[in-house]
Amino acid sequence: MRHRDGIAVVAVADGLGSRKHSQIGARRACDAAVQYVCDRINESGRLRRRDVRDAFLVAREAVKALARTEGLPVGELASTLLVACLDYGRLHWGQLGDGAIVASTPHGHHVVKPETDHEYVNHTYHLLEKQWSKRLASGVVHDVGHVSLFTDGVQGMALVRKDGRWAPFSGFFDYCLQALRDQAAGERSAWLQTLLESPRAAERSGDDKAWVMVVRDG
Amino acid sequence: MAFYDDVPMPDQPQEPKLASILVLDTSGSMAGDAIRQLNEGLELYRWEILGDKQASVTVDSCIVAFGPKAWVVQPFGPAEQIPAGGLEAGGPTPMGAGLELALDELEDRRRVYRRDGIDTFRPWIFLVTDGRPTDMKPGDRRFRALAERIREGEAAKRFSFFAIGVDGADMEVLGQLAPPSRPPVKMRGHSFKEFFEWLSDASKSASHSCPGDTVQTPDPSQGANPWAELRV
Repeated sequence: MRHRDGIAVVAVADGLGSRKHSQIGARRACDAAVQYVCDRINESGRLRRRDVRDAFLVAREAVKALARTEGLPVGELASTLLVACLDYGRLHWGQLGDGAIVASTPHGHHVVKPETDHEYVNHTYHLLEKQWSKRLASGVVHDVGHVSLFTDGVQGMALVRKDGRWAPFSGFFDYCLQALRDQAAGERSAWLQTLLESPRAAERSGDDKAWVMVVRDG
Repeated sequence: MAFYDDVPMPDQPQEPKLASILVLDTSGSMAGDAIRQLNEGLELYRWEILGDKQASVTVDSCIVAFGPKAWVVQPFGPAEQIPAGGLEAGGPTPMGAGLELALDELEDRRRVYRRDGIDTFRPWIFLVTDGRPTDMKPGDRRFRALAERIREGEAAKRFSFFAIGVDGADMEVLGQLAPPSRPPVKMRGHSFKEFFEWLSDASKSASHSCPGDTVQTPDPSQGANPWAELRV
């Protein structure tokens, strides 16, 4: 995650559980995507719609290059990838695979991509598959105060699903946002980490959990 | 009490489900050793699934029998509801009615999953028969409609369909019903016990699978399956 002057660029990625080196692939994908988006902002001062989509191509190539450097089968580094840039209330987002991005506006909390990709639970799209660009969803949401990105291990705590569509559980987000505002700035990450490592979170899902939340103060 | 105990969360989602339908021939030709071994195999399957903590909450079993009529022996539910030794053999072979009933049961179950937001694995349908249908024949409207329904469902990934022919089965008819991507498999003799051991292992593997795993849909033609004859 990077931030400055009212602009935050964040990414989360979830390595595919069965792939041996997916964690390093996920890490590389996040680093490459965030770096690319930050470079675009530094160059032109603003983000274009296509920049977030291009970040996924850059991330994919970075992971493939890492595989070559390390002498690893490239498929072993597969991961999902979620990227968001919150720029003074305008949210640019991109998502490939499961997990969710939740934007909070004056009208409430919204899952930016509510449709589930796959009907079946043990399928997800990932950054290294051939059809990745067709599976990539992206968009812009305006008037966003806060945004959360999380992997599918957090979904059971924060979202509800009905008729194939995800929706935020508002009580969860309202509580967490208020609780984070009540924490000192340096304590907020620890609060989130404690929640994710709690027995209550483990009851919801045994999957790895990653959650980034961008909260605009004021 | 820790702070995280106060965090509002939605109702606990249910464990994902693997809908698994067995469409079993209980016509007269299955009398004697065949039906006895089929019942024993079902009992073994029940205990194997119940013995695996994850599989016991994941596998959502339904049993449809055909012979003398088509009927739902057990509607969708946990393995503990699988009846022990209850199947009897007799009468003709209404395979068409049995398959239609099974496909309808699956569609109803999928609607429930969707309505209730329950995660699922791709469902499995296993047809096990030792004969040929007496309520339809290749080329007639019912047969063509069923074959199309199975092909279309498989192609749309609504389910995976497996046709298993026991001694005496008309493999040609099964070949016309089964999807082209998954031709029927011939069972060796009455090796129902081995078949249900294989099925319970496959069910347990699927229950424990992670995203990206390739072991999701079982393939009876692969591996050292003592119950399956090699495809020619």
